[in-house]
Amino acid sequence: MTDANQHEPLLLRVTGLTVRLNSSHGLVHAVEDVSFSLARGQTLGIVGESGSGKSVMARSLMGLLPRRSIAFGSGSILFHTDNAQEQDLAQMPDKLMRHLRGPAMAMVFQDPMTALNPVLRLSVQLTEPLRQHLGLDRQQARSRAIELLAAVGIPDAAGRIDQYPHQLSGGMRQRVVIAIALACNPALLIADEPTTALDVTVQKQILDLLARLQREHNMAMILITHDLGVVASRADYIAVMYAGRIVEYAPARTLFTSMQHPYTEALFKSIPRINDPSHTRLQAIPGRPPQLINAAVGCAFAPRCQYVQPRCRQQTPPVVEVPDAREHRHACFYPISPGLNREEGDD
Amino acid sequence: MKLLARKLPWLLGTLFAVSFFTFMLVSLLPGDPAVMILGAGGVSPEAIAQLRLELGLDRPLVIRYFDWLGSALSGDLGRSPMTGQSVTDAILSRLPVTIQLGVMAIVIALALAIPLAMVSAYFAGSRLDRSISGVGFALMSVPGFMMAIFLILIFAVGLGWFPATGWVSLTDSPAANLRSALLPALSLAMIELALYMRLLRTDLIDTLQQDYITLARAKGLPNWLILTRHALRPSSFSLMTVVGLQLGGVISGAIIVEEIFALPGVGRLLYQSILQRDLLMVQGIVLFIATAYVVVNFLVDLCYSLLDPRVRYAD
Ligand SMILES: Nc1ncnc2c1ncn2[C@@H]1O[C@H](COP(=O)(O)OP(=O)(O)O)[C@@H](O)[C@H]1O
Ligand code: SF4
Ligand SMILES: [Mg+2]
Repeated sequence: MTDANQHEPLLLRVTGLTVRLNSSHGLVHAVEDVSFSLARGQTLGIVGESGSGKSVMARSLMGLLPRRSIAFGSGSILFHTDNAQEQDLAQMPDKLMRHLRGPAMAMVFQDPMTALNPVLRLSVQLTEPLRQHLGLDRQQARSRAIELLAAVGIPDAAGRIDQYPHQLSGGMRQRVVIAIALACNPALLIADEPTTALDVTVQKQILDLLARLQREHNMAMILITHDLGVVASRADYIAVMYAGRIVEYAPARTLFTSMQHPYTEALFKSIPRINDPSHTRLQAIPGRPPQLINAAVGCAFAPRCQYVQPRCRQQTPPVVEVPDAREHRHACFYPISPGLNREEGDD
Repeated sequence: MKLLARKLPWLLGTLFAVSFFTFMLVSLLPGDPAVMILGAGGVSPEAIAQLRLELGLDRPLVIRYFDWLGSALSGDLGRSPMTGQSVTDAILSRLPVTIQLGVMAIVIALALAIPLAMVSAYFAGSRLDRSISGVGFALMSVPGFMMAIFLILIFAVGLGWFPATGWVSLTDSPAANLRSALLPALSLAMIELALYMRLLRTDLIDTLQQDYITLARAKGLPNWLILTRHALRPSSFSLMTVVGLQLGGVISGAIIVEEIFALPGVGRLLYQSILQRDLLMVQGIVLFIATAYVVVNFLVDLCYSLLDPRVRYAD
């Protein structure tokens, strides 16, 4: 795979992002030293079990974390706005940040049942960003909102727009959430587990819809999921997250042909495969998911890792580049099969 | 409308029970009404027996109840044996004062409580929030009559902006009416204010953690719009319930304030009737209060559907 970052202009560069949150149980090390970059129009898949810090990371990119709950934050989030200026979102006051939410970056949430305001009609919820950022008047915003609903595949959009969220199915609601996100034509769309809460049959439709809209709008997308299979064929790059850290990062093809990190391998083995005989059991990852309360010394995956060595418990493995592999990084002292091409790599 | 049909039997049943207990409560009070009317000393037993007959007190309780209920349904709550005044007329002539007072108090309290609760909830845990809550708590612990006296001392006696007592009716002079109503309404409002604020603050804090608020923020909406359009309505169920209770209980709530400010309202009528042991008047007013309570709560139930479309469409 060629290095797409060289062809497309850079949109987002995150460096050393660290977010620690206050919670009733103590300090949560939700995001630790996360770095990645993303070019316009590209898709970055972020994969990790529930509780690995994916949502906190996504929300901190958009400046959506409640300020009160942030105990510590550092790192930079450089974002290239349309006029090619580079701004550090991590330093930006909320007053200015607000004007980027919608037109520059938007978000699709995990649970469409709770993401829409139950007491407001779709028309209100859809026209808000249009009126706020694009300055449309009531009538213009309404007809644009109907177009948006139609664009995300809602039948009878003109009739539906005056309904309330509870009158729509989960899949339809997620389409509305997507329509809201797209309203101001953002350069970056963050989709935080957009299909996790949906029926299996609807999941593929929503993912295909996102892919189509991404192409049409030339949007960059951060597609967050706990299922490596979801991003396998949809992402240009994949970042595997564990306990708040990116433990492996690679172009999608590279990741599947020569994965280095034991956790990536464990995730890979847990992908449900359609052509598997139905009686083969999914290989769940043994052990408890990561605990983020108070950072432990050593590799966070050590308690569950089948390749663990004494050193893993004493030092935290740093992020290193894979020799001779472009843009392939991992954080493991004992990576698996350096450079080995695996046959089962393609899904 | 289906909601109405479903709740109507419940409403009627409650009203029936309320009327029965009101009647019983007053009828079973110790003391013979006839003796009380005529005075204890020096009255002949014949005169008392005569009055008991006139008042119908010789008949069984249940009969008397249905008798009373029948008249009450046709709007006749009897005549006060003390003043000879019709109970219904007495209540109705004083009702506008009490209602104006109650509504003004609630409007003032809400107008202050809603923005304060929003600020408090938005900055929950901050020094500002704690100051607001502290003042609210202080207000809540001040007894109603103290509040009234404070306000009179400051604004009537001290500054002379408002009359200390008395009432001018709305039809006589709207301006003077407002002046005479403001201090009493304010003393009622100050006490309600704290309660409204605490309720709304709690519910707002909960709502502000919902996904749809995060989505509203992700749309880049300004905070004031998120608070007013997105958060307020889903957070106002408990508030509306309590406002309803307050409105239903406006008469009993206004007793002390009406007495202190010498306002010709139903609350003061009740207070004075109790002092004079005018049982028929007390009975009529209590029935009226209880009915108002039940009916207002019924209306509040109907209003839920205005707040939440899910209730509206579930029918
Ligand atoms: N607002 C918050 N305050 C405190 N802790 C939080 C908050 N949001 C998430 N967390 C904690 O941060 C950790 C990472 O959560 P999250 O990012 O939601 O994981 P994921 O999206 O990967 O499932 C969890 O331990 C979670 O409990
Ligand atoms: S550093 Fe050690 S424990 Fe951690 S993933 Fe690598 S081998 Fe396993
Ligand atoms: Mg999540």
